[in-house]
Amino acid sequence: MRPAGRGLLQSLYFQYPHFEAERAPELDQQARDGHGPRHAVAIVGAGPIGLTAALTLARYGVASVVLERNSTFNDGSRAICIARPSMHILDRIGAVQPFLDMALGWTRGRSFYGEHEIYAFEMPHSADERYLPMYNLQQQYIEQFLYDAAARNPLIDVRWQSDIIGITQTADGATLAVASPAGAYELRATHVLAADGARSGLRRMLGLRLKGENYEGKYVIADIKMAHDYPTERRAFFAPKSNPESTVLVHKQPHDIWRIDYQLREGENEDEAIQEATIRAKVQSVLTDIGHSGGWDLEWWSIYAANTLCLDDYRAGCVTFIGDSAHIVPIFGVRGLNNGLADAHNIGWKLAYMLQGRAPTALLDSYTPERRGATLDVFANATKSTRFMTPPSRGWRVMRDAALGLAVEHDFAKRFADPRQMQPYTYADSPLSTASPRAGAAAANVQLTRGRYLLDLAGDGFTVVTAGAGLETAGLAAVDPRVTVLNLDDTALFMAEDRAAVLRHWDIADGVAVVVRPDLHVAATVARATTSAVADCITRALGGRP
Amino acid sequence: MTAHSGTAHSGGASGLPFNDLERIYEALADAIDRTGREREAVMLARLVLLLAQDSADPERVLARITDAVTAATRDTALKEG
Repeated sequence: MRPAGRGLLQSLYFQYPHFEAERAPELDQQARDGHGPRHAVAIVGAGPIGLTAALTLARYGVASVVLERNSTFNDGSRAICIARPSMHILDRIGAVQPFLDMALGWTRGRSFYGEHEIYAFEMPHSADERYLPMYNLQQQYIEQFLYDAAARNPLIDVRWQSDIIGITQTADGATLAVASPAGAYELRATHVLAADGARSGLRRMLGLRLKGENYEGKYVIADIKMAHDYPTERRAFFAPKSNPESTVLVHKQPHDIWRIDYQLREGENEDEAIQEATIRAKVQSVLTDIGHSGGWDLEWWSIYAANTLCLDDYRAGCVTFIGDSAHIVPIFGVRGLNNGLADAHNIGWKLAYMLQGRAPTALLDSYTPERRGATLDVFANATKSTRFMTPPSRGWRVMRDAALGLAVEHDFAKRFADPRQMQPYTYADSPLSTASPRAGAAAANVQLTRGRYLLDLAGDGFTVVTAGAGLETAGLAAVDPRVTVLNLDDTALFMAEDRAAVLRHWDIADGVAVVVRPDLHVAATVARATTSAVADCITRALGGRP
Repeated sequence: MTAHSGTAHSGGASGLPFNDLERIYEALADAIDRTGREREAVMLARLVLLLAQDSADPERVLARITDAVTAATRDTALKEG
């Protein structure tokens, strides 16, 4: 919602583009031939998740059509936190630079109880990381930067104002019924990626339901513009002076925009709470708490309740659900966008390998266990955060207040206030992994000489990091033509200290090979590596049987 | 500050690992919900007596009672501004 007198897209800082609906070629083709061509991949939704899927596919040379109901980007800033693993994904799809130029990186958060600072956390960070643990950026920019990259890419056909009104699945794909300003048409695709968000139309049309828990506690999310001097940190205020019954979160965003989240009191009237006058009064009281005495403008607001909901299976025939269409997670811990980006990247490389005949269809079967597993892990953490941020019953409320009050003087109680921010997920039981140390884990980055980082050197395909093993690249290229072999003994690429740093950091010895997947998760660590043993691990990581 | 023993900043080597603490936190939340508002104070008081019996260190328990009251007094000050 926006203040009275301003339209839904009248932002204080963002110029919304208007995208015309171009006439779809299918309209003429179906008049002439009875139907249009079959597309390899249709993506429904041009939000951050759909566009990341399109860019991932394009990275591997796979074309896609992206169908978006709206004529512009999201009407307000929703997700604002981009976690380090997501920066690696943006890097790999060639879109990270504008994010680095504008986003505000951060590492620290603080929790307060009344006027007492009870907890300060530092997210894991070291010189071995190319990216900071977290970056704040408004969702409109996230969408714009991804769209800019997609628009430059000849393999991506984004069609705005194209609403999906029906879907028929056949043995060899699906037919989407598309409504567009120039007329309705049918679009045939071998694979459909449903990136159409929390209220997914495709999910409804296929008769699928999200299952899980709804939490009752409500939060108002308001973005305001103000000149406020405070570093980029996450601040959580429990029982702040002006609203002792409430909890408040404050995040900084680029262009002097600040995100204020505050909890509604138990029994507080929701309709009343989202009135502009109420929002203004509440925000003013929060600003008084944080010592801001200057002026401010109201940009946008929304209301939110925490849910942990997901589909039983993220795939239904040739349709794969990615992002919020597959799962809805609580905001506490910033996992909605980040989890969705990982979905898009995961299905993207797998679909590309499969469509290009480099992997069996079975590769796609690993998508649900890997990504739904990640969602369930998110639920476990987010449920704990949510119980702390919005206690669901008296018992949880009493315990939360007990911990907060003790944390002022007793260190042991401080960790209860930890927001359990997004951490990289390990695909522990993935069918693609070969049982070995670190299998399924996100590959750790290592700082190298000449300002480089190990993961910068990873290729688009599988990357094999090896030392003292004498692997034959040709033998590995037979299973993955895109394979990159990073031989730590190659003195043109690695100095002696680089070699030592990787061996030390990854805790590996001479003769080893570490197989890293295109999404930078470890598939296998092979001791006494031979070309055929490593090739077998790649075959397995491509859904095949060695 | 009151003159209780110098263990206010507890934790570290002598404290519980956080995972164990968290299990207890969750069990207590559940216990309060199951007991109901009318009996929860009595239930929690009984719990303290049982734990005091286990600890066999009356001075420590008395110091902890002072800690808990201090925190409660601070809550009251917070709510009343």
